[in-house]
Order: sequence, then C-alpha cells, then structure tokens
Amino acid sequence: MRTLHWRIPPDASLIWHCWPGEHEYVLYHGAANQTHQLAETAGMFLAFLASGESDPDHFQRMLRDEGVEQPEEVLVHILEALHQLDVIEPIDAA
Amino acid sequence: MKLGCAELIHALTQPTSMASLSPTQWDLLLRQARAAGLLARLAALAQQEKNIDQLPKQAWHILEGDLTFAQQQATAARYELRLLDRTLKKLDTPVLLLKGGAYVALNHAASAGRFMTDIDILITKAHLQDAESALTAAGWMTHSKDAYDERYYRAWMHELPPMRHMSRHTLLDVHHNLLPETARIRTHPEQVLASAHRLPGYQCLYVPDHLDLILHSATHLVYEGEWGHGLRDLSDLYLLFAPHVHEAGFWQRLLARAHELNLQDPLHYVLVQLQTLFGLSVPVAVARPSPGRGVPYLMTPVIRLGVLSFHASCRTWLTPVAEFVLYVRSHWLRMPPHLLIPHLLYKAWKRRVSEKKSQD
Amino acid sequence: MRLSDIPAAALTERIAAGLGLQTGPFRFLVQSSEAGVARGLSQLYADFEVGPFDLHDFHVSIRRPAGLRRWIHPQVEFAMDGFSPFIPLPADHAFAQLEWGMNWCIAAHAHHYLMLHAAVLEKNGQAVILPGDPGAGKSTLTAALVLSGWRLLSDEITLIDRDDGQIVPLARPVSLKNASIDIIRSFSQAASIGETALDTHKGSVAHLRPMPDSVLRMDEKAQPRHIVFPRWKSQALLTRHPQDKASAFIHLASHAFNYNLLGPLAFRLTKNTLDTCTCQRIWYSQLDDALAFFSELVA
Repeated sequence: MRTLHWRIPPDASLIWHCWPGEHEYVLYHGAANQTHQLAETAGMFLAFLASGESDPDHFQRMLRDEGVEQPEEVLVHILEALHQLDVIEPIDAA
Repeated sequence: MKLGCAELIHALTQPTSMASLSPTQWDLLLRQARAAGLLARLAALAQQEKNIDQLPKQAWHILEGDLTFAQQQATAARYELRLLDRTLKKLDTPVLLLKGGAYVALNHAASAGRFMTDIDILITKAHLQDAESALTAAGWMTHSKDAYDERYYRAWMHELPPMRHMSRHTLLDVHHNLLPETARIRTHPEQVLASAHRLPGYQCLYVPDHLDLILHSATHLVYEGEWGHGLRDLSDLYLLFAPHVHEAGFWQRLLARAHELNLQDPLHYVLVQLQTLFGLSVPVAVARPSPGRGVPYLMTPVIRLGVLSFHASCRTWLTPVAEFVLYVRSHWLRMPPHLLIPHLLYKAWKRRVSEKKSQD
Repeated sequence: MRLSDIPAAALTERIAAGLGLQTGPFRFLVQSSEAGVARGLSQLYADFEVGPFDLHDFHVSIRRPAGLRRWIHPQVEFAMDGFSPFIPLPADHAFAQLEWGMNWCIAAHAHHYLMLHAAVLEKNGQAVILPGDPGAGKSTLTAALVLSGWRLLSDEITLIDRDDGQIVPLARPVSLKNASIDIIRSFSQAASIGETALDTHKGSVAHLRPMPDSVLRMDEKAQPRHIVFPRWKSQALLTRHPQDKASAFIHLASHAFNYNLLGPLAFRLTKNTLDTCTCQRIWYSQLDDALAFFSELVA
C-alpha cells in the first residue's frame, strides 16, 4: 500500500518560529487566523514539507538518525495533530 | 432639513472629499461612522484613493484600526467558506452564498471594509434536513436562545435556527428562501439558484447573479427590523450598483428581474433612498413606483428616518416613531397575523424582564 | 495647558460642558456633572494636558440615568458617544467607573496598536513588561516601581505601535485594589492616592497619581527589553526562573486585548517583541526584594 504523502495547503499562509536554545515552535496559521505552540518535531516536519519534501517515511528516517526514540509513534502523533489543525493535507486531497 | 451626516455620506460616495475635512468635522464624522459600522469602509475607500497622507494621522489611526479588524474577519470568512465547501459537497446540491459571504467570495467592492458577523447560505428545502445533519457532524450547533426561539424558527418561520460552530464560534444562517415562507411576499428561490454562478475553486458554492445580489440586498434592507446598520447596507448597495449604472440595458434588466422575483417594492424603496441620500443617478422611469401596486408613499420618509437612526446627531423626535413602525412592519411582513401579536407581546415582555434584571 | 492650571470652580464647569484630556496618544472628551469625577480628575490628572481640542478619539460621559434611581440610591452610567457598555453603578464609584470606561474605550477600539494585558515601566531606556496574572501582585508592584523612580508607561494596557514595535505610554493613574491601597500608602510619603470606592465588583478600588515626569514624557515611546512574569508567594525569598519564549508568546497572545483581530500583524509584533526581550519569571514576597531585582535588571 502506498504511503500517503503530505503537503502544506497552498493557501494556508503559515509562519513559524523557534527561538535559539529552545525546543518549541510558535505557529501562525494565516488562513484560519489561529496561533499554536508546537513540539520541536512537529515544527521540523513543517520545515521538511516547506522545503519541497512530502514523504513521511523519509522524515521518519531522519528522526531515527537524529536519535529520536520511537519515531513511528512520534510521526503518527505529528501527522494527526497537524492534520487536525488543518495545516497539512494529504497530497491526493481534491 | 439639513442632513446631519452629509459629510459622512459624501465621504462614502466621493472618498477624495475626506482630504478636505477639518479636524472638527472629523471629530463628528468618526463618531457617526463608528455608530454606523462604517469606519472600516471609509478606511478602505481612502486606501483605494491613495490619499491617506492627506488625512490627520489621528483620524487615520482610528480608521486603519477598524479596517484591520474587518480584513481579519474577511479572512476568517474565506476560511469558513473553504470548510463549508468541504462539509456540504457530499449533498451534491448547489449551496448559494448570500450577501456578505458572496461579496467576500467575489472580492467585490461591497466587501471592502465590511464587517462580517455571520454567513448566510441558501439550500433548497428538500436538502435542508441533510444539510443540518452534515453541519452538525462538522461541529455546528443550532443556537436558539430558548425553546420559544426554537419554535419561532422551526415551526413558524420554517427556518433552521441560526447555527454556531462549537470551537470556532462562527455563526451560520441556513435559508431555503429569500424571505420566510410565512412572509406576505412570495419569493422564488429556484429562480435565483437557476441564474447563480459556481465559484471557481469550490465544489458546491455558488453566488447569485449580480442583479440578484442587488435585489436580495434591497429586500433584506427593506424587511429589516433593526435599523442600526441601515446606512451601511445602503452603502453596500451603492457599491453593488456603481459598476453598472452606465451599462447599456442594465436598468431594464434589473426591473425585469425584480418583476420576475416579485421584488419590485423593495427595489423601489431602495432606489428612492439611494437617489435622495447618495445622489445615485437613477433613470426617472425606474424611480417611479410601478402602476397598480399601491405602494404606500409614507414608507419612504419612514425608511429614511430608519436609515438615519444610527447616531444622535442624525436623529429627530420622529425617529423613535419610525423605528417602532419599521420594527412592527418587519414582523408583519414575515409573520401571519395570528402569530404576530403574541410574538410582539412576548418579545416586549422578555426585554422588560432583562432590563429589570440588569437594574437590580 | 495642564489641568492644574484651571481654577477649581472653572474646572467643574468645564467638565460639565466637556473637558478635553490628553492621555498618551488618545484625546478624550470627558463630560460629567458628578463631583466625584471632578475631584478625581483634579487630584489624579493634575499634570495632564487639557483641551480644547478639535478632534478627539473618544467622547465619554459619566451621568445619572433617567428615572427614580436619580435620587434614591443614585447611580451613574458610563457612556462612549451615547453607548453604555456597562450596567450603572453607585454614584460613589463615579471616578472608578470613568477609569474603567476609559480602559474599555482603548482596549475595545485602539487597533492601531497591539494591546497586551500587562503593566509596562521604563528605566535607563529599557521597558519592562509585566503580564497581568491574578496573584502576581502586579498593581502593587507597578505602584511601588512608580514611586521608586521608574517611568510609568501603563498599569494595565501595554500599547505596541504597529508601525515600529515600540511601546507607547498612557501614563494614567495606577489602579489599586483592597490591601494594596494601604500597602502603597505606607510605602511612600510621595504616594498621592485618590478616594477609595468601597464594595465595587473588584472590592475596594483607588488610584495612585502618576509622577509628573511620567506624564510630561507621555510622548516618548520606549523600547521593550524585558518581560517578567511576577508571582507573589507568601514568605518567599526572591527567586528567578527561566521562561521559554514560545510559552510566553502563547501567554501574551491569549491574554492580549486584540491579538485575534490583527491577524498576521499580531503574530509579527508579538514575535518581534519577544526577539528583543529577555524573558523570565520571579517569585517574591517582599516588595523591596522585587524592586532590587528590577533595578539590577536594567542597570
């Protein structure tokens, strides 16, 4: 079964920021006018997608290389949380 | 009778005139505009004229502040439209955006600096149940104040009560007709749906044809019970008319459409107000009431008093009388007689109870 | 012209007809026939510039509503240009009602600014923002700082100019509640505190007159440099705790008056403020410890 690929919706208007030495991000979702606090890995995933990547398996490998424990679980949480916030969507979304 | 808000209306029709107002004139104009809900509109018009530098900084700060607020609401509305499209596309039926929602979706001049408090959509009566289910599943809840209100909407008006989203707190009105079924004027929504245009980029959202946008806005204004936003609604209408007034055949098409939809009366009332207050150039033939309709000519000054009721500087001793007449009339137009009197009595009683509570 | 330049009898008349008052960037037209309002303005706004002005941001009034209550248990009502956002209150609370009303005018309408719910003071060119949590003892702290040489920018609403991210002062009287009224009275001889309104919905309320220097410099914006979240803890020695900026951001945003209204601008202004500020929490019980901490912070 082909893994679902993800992207940031084209009209989402996201701005995010993490301060030096800190591990959490603040995220502004322009289309919905909502502001959120994100765990570091979720912020990294947004940066990953913004750079043109879309394959979550690739991201999971990166997490493992960084020494993140239980990367599959972490990834599942990230995808659920960000999808729930409507800041990422599966690429097949019509 | 000198118009207490002449500068305000002039600013709405000739925005460049704002550059020559004195600080004293601005003091009154800003208060009137705030009361009328028009600060953001003036700001948008000033921005379009690119003459912000000529306005007093203090005035511009006030205008710009409200404009930012209105723009943010428009962004929020656009997002709601995206989500509504997703929620309702499974119904496989057109969802017609009305008024503010349509202006925002079209990026129409009438959306400039306009505050959006709720979204109005129209669906055919046959799909109303399914629409309510789909919306409820997506987090919308009907939002009646109490059991009486709930009955008012469902049993008497044959409407869904207004809906509110659980987490986003936005408001949605789902209609199946332009006026309540019980109204004394029969309107035909299927004709409006038939001429509607699908919004590019959306699955099921439609906007009315420009003639219908005008007629619906006119009807809404004339049937309104509360007139605090009468001037703002007229300003919206002025902007709806503006691109078309010199178009060949426009007035004939508009009149013909008004007849088709049985909305000649609201159109007449609105045209008279736009002509006398806003100086809109209306061909004489259109401004005259249609023969044999028996349009009560007193309604024109009453509506004018309603439109100008928004600020103390424009009110007269007659204004409360006009407000009362318009309030009763709006209910009379919507409700059959056997429901009207008890309803008005109940509403009056409720208001007294809540006033007493706040005094204790 | 300053309010103190107006002789007492003339002042009462001018307020009854409508007195122009400049507070920070805002010009109010204040109208009232209530003696309590005239007394409050006379004592607490003595150094403020008065009109006549041509263009005002807000027309406000404190009046008795029509009806029997005019004479029996008289009440007063605040209105902005004829609109009353609050229920009427006892006439004894007239001045407090005016202060709350003026706060409301700014917080509900002044969207040229990002408005945080925080006190903000300046010393040595550095503005320190104190977000207003319950239990912080913020108003006592603010008043003590005001009486210790700090320039008051605001005790309640921190205005951040959308054009340059600088803090714009209001320099209005500092609101004190309950125990803090006596604490500040004993804290300094220089404390000029207005009449106490008893039994308001916030308990006893009084106001501290801002120092003349703060009022005279109300045109001077300030650069935000520090954000401190204070927490009063009985008998605690002063301790400092780190505060991460991401959480501070969310706190400031969720307690701001108009964050949601300003869209992406709000996000950028808040982020820029956090960029230029240090961010920490302190626990304290002794005012003197806290004052020493703040002095050291901007040394």
